[in-house]
Amino acid sequence: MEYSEIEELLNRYLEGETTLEEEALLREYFSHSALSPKHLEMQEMFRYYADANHAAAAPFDITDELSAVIECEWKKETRNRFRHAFAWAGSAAAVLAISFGIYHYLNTSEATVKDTFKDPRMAYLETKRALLLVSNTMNRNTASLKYLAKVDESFNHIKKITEIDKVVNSVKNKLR
Amino acid sequence: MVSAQNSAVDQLFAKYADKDGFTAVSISKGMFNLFAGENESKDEFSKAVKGLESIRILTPDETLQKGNLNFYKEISKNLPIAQYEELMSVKEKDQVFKMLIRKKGNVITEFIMIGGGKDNVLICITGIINLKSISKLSKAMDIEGMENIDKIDKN
Repeated sequence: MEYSEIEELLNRYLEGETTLEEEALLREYFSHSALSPKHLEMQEMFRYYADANHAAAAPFDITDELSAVIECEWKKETRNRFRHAFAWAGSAAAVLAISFGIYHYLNTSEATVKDTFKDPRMAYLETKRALLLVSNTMNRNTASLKYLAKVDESFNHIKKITEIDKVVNSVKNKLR
Repeated sequence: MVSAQNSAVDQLFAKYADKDGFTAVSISKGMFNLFAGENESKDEFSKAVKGLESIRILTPDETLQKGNLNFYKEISKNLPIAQYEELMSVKEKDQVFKMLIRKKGNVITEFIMIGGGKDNVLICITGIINLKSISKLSKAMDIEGMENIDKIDKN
């Protein structure tokens, strides 16, 4: 390559107007040792870039940088979220432990009877029926000396009473 | 404290609750508290229920009752009756009722009634049991019932 050609290419290079091919030509030129002393300075620069394996010249990639930042933030975020999750799990465990304790306490102090009825009214009627049966039997013992009451009668009696009770309660509720 | 005492009855209920032809009913203190508030606490029923921990009732279904099931024998076979005090025993032609209690000091903490024969039933009550109130109940209910019927007419 002629000196003038090099000079012109260099000027355009410094202006940033060279094509990739022309830059390759320049690099090629500066990799040779026999140069005019005017270009020594430029040669140093070209060599520097070549030695640095284009690392320094590696274009600054905004997307890489951004994604790195995003990833970093995301990691922080998830760590925080986990921290929240752990906090939740911790409090949930505490609540469970406490309620189990209470349940256990109530259970041991109130025997292990599970309610058959969910409806208090049904439980109420059944309780009344059972207590009345006991009551009737108690009273029948003395009465049985006078006459032998038939069991069926006493059972019907209880049924009647619960019927009456139903009516009375429904009336009471209406009055309210 | 109660559960240790009840173990024999617990076992009995556990045994029959899942058996075909038996109906087991349990009512707990929580329920008593729920419906105790509905009535004025003065009436005999509320008095009788007050202090109770639980009521459990076991009855064989009609099909079994018509068979040769001797419920009284069946139940007493599985109960350590010697651990109980007999409160009352009713024997009639084709019906037996037996009431058993357990005391702590002067307080009755457990009551069991077994009916066998024409009518078969096992009732087990725990808690602080006021037998006087329960005994008064049948008469009191009659009277209350009648009073309330009068009220219905007036209204």
